[in-house]
Amino acid sequence: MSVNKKKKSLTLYPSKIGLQRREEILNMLTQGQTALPQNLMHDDLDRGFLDYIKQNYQIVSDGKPVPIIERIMTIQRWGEYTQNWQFSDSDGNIEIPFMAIIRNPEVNYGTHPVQHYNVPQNQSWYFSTVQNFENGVMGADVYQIPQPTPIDIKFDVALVCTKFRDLNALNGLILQNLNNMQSYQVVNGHYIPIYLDGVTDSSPINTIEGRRFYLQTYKFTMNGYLVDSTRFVKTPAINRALLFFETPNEGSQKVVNQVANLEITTVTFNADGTDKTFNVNENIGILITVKVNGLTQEQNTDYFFIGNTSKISFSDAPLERSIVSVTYIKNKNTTLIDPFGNILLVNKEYFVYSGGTPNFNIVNPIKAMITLDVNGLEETENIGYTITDTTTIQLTSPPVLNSKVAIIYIS
Amino acid sequence: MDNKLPITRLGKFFGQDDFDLQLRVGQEYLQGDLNMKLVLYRVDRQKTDTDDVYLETAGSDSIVFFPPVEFSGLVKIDPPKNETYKEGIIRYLEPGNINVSVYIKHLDELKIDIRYGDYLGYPESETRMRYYTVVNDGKVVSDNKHNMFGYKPYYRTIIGSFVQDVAFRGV
Repeated sequence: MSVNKKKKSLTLYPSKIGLQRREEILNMLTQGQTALPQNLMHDDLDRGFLDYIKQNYQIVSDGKPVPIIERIMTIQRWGEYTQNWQFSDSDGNIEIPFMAIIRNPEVNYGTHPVQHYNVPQNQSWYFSTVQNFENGVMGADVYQIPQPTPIDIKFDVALVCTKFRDLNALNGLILQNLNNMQSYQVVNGHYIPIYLDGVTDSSPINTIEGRRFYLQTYKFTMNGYLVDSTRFVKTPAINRALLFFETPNEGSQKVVNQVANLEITTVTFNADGTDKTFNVNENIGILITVKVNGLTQEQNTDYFFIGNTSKISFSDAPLERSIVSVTYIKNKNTTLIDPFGNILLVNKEYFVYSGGTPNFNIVNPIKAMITLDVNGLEETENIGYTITDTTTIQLTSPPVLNSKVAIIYIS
Repeated sequence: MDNKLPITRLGKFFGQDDFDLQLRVGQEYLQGDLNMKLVLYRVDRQKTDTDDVYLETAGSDSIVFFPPVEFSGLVKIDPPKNETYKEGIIRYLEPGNINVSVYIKHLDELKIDIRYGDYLGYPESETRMRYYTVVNDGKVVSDNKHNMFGYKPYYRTIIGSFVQDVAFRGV
């Protein structure tokens, strides 16, 4: 039993980015490729049919090409082509032979079989998804177009000539070109079928006293359709949006960091000005620091903590909107063992700076630094201090005399 | 340069001098006594911008005209047409065609030609100007009617069809 193949990802975004992507878009646009079909209306189809006749049915008479009036004749009298046409005689009449194309003014609903069944209400349908990059945000647009409206346009192609050979030449061209009953013309990128309905002869050959010429008319039907670009719909599909949320000062946030394979947890509270007790909701094995607005608090003076409990109690409630952070190692006892079986110790050592080089020698070889503060203000490693060797820590700049330096580290 | 062939027919009874005399008499009658004036609006087909499928302009105001020219002609207007667009509905009443007989020499003197599709203006009253489009420019004057005693042609008959103001209202 075969497994259904599912596409696991949608390639919404182009593989090229930056300059390469811009060049790709430029090439796409300049080569006439758009994400939408080109507009196709009556005048486009008429122009397409004129081109179709000119490209396929040019015949030669007396060694010269038979002129084709490549315009659709209309009722605007002054515009009649004969006035400016190079193949007019001194009376302004077109010289024979020539070919003319007449479009029947009426255009009926199309008879193309595949277009007989329609969904009512003229709704628009999905056509393509196009990437975009607007206001610095990459996204995509969905292009929808209405169902094209089929139309039948009927044309008469008339040949007026005085030679039977000219009739034969055009007849041969048309019937051979349409020997499979249809022909195609590309109009604005659309393949439009053209059918030959028949040929009629209106030559006044029976006229005894009048002018004599041949007039044959080939009747064509173009199975076109209308694609109106003004009815295209563009809607946003997917956009990568930047959303910002402003959260109220409620609850607590918990962050866990790995130091020397130990999980050191920091829980931050937003004080409301009344609460004295802050609960981290888990047992605190080793309490490392308690800070209020970044200032390290002193145990048994500023706050109180009972081992293996989860609460910190302040003697005075921190001010409203103060940030209270409690850093600790979650453990059932004070003996720590890393994943490799090594016993770790959390050391807290306090020094008073009495002048001179601000070097502080700690008792145990340091494996990892947890925190160092001077008078309650935490310093950053390699900025405020450096670990010169496993037992010596040097402040970057000397603090004021009698400053209290607290170093908490893992050995 | 076109060849010129002298007209010598009717030479014993009629010649160029007689032809010119008759023309002067006729022009004096038409332009001096009758004094029927029309305005010719010639379409500049070179400067008028048209589309490449239908050879139509975007609107009637976008047709470019040469400066209007006043000329004299013998005017005859057909009775008004009281008709409908389609079998009994939407009636319209409008002037009949205008028939203008104009001396060929007069057109040559004015250095103008009246062509199919040009417009004619004819003042019907002090306040009303009617416009017509040329539907027959009468260029072919080979018939006896337009020949003076069979000597040679001397006038053209221009036929114009009425146009509504939306199609043309002067320039």
